[in-house]
Amino acid sequence: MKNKIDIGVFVKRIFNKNTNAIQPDEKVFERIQLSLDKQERKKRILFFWIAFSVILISTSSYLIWGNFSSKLQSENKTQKDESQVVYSATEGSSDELIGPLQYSDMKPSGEDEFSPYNSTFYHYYIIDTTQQNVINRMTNEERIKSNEVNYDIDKLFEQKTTYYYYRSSGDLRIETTDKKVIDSIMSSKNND
Amino acid sequence: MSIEELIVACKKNDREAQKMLYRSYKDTLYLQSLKYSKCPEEAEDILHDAFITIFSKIKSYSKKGSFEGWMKRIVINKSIDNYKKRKNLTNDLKEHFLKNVEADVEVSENINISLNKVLEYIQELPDQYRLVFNLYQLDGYSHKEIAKMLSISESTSKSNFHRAKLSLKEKLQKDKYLNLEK
Repeated sequence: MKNKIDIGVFVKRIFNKNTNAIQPDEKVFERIQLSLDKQERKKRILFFWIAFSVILISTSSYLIWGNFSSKLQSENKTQKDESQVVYSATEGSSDELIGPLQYSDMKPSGEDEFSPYNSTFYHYYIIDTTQQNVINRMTNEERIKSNEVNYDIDKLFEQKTTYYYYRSSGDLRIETTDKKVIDSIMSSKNND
Repeated sequence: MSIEELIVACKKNDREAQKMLYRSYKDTLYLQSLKYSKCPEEAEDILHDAFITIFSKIKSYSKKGSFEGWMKRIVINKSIDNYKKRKNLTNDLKEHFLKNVEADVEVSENINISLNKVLEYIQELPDQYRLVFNLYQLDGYSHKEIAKMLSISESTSKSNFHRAKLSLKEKLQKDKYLNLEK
């Protein structure tokens, strides 16, 4: 008697009996190895480029930011240095200062030259910053009088060691470390 | 080295372990890919792609189910990918007609036939028949699962399966295997 079974079941039995009957070509593993090597190389190249890009981006941002912040720092430092001079010269009233201005800042090109003569201030202070002393204080009238006989304030600012400072009160503070200037003012005062 | 040790070593990208793993499973997985492909060359390509995926994704193997089952599933997925790529180029199913759809699909269990010959018959089946037959009959998927995997309806899967069996029986008849039943 012939035992009949479904052809699908029949095929499955044949497969189950012969699971290791057929072997692939040996070259398949060589191909797999080559592909794995290729994949590995691709990963390394990708990793290298990512690392390179990160380094490049961080270096350039560091340089850009470093440049910017050092500029900012040097500006701050200049301001700090100048304000230190101001504070040391104007103890107790530094908050009244509008800020240090160098002589060159006061001479806008093409416009009427700034001059303490042409401007009206309540007081003129000449400060010896080496001694932290006010060596001369004049009202506007005193200044006009003294100018005729004593010293030319405007000339002081040709010395790089002499600076103007405005005060919010309307005074002009003139700071100097120049010994010659100080001597000249002192001698003119004595002459008065 | 035990299979667990091999898996651990393969996760570390150890080439020697990969070689050992390949040697342990190459025959089983090759047979798996052979039955899903049209020819040995295609089966070798599927095996190659499957092993690349196995070694790349082995870190994600979570020990749920058998490792062999996990690898076989990768081979099946590669075969389905292959079929889907080919399906866009040609649709050989339309040209395949079977006259007697209602015919009996039973054969004698004593037919003397080699595995190679059975494989040859399976490989000659139209792509979709072959896939459905293998998935349902040899790998135990349900028609519902097959329908989802191949983007076909469940009834299409059932009819493809039946037609695949008829086609196989026709081939056996044609080569006179049924006349030689013991």
